[in-house]
Amino acid sequence: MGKILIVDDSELTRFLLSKILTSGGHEVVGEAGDGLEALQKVKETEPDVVILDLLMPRMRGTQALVEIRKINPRIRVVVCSGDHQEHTVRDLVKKGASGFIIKPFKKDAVLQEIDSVMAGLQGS
Amino acid sequence: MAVVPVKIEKDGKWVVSKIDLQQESMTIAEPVGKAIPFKSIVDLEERKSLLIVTVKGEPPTVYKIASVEKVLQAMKRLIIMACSAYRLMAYFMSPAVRGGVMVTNATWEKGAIAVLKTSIWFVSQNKQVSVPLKEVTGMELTKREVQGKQVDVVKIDHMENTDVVTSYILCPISTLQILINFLKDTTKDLEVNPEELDPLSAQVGMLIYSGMDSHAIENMLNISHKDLDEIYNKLLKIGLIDVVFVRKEVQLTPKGVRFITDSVKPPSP
Repeated sequence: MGKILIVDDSELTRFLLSKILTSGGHEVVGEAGDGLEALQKVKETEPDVVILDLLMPRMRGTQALVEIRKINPRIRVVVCSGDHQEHTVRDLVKKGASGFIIKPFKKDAVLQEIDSVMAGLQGS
Repeated sequence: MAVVPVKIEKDGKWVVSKIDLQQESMTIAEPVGKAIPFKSIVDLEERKSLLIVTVKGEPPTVYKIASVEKVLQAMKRLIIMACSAYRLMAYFMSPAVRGGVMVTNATWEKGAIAVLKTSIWFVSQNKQVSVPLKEVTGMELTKREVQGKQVDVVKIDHMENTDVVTSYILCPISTLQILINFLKDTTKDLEVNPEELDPLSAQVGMLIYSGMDSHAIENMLNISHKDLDEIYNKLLKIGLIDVVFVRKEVQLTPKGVRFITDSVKPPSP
């Protein structure tokens, strides 16, 4: 089970993700409401996985993704967004995203994606 | 072309029969004994191992046909390509997303889209996918990257069991516009005026979508059982939810209290 940081500007989404992840046996090590706060929390909490929203104030998810990977390339980033167009996904994968959760999400889809990313992390 | 074994519902009972499938019609053998030109078919629904064929008339005649997957697949393809429907040649990708997870082997298939009375059918040489119109949760004309180019597509979301399934249709923009207008008109009962819903009720809706039960929703939004009940009533009234079951909230009777207290007492020496 993994240490997870949740980054989303919607408090309800953070809360919901936190409940879902905890129910799946994961440890939520922190939450952040924008990209800049996310970078700070990444340094403080050293998560295995960051769940990252794309549209956020101060620093957008795409930029935060690049910066997180610079801080620690071992951290897996799962993007959580309503935009799942091929070019968006391809661009995010190029930038280092390991997974994708489509909004609105279901509990099972979230846990399935995180488990899959965690399995990759353990295999690496 | 081919004679295939089927079971057909006749007078409320399933009877064994055969269907002679031709290019433009099918003939059901005895005890039904009926020739059906495909052009007279106005609707086709799919249930598990079952096709429901509606033939025009006053009143329309409905045939329920059961058979093995291979037979139903051949029958579906012939009917959809020749029945009375709005039909267009198109590329489609279905399913592209299921339950919030992208389908990894999803590809564009060359085929046809047929819009019937109760469902939209995506048909290719090897695939027939039915999207019941009453299960459609959303549709939009949007852009999607295909072979490096942004092209216009229609995106259709529909419910399949408890998952939302997304499909895409690709064809000339003028045809897509006709299709989207038709779909919007057919499913206009599903539209919700955002003003009908306050933010808290919308949040409850989102949590239900995510799979949270009533108890979790009360805790997450810090609202009472009574408040949540009121929100549920609001959502029920505008048709956004169905009641699956009513949970009982209970307390112990004196008899119950006695039973529980007795059960934890140490055995008397």
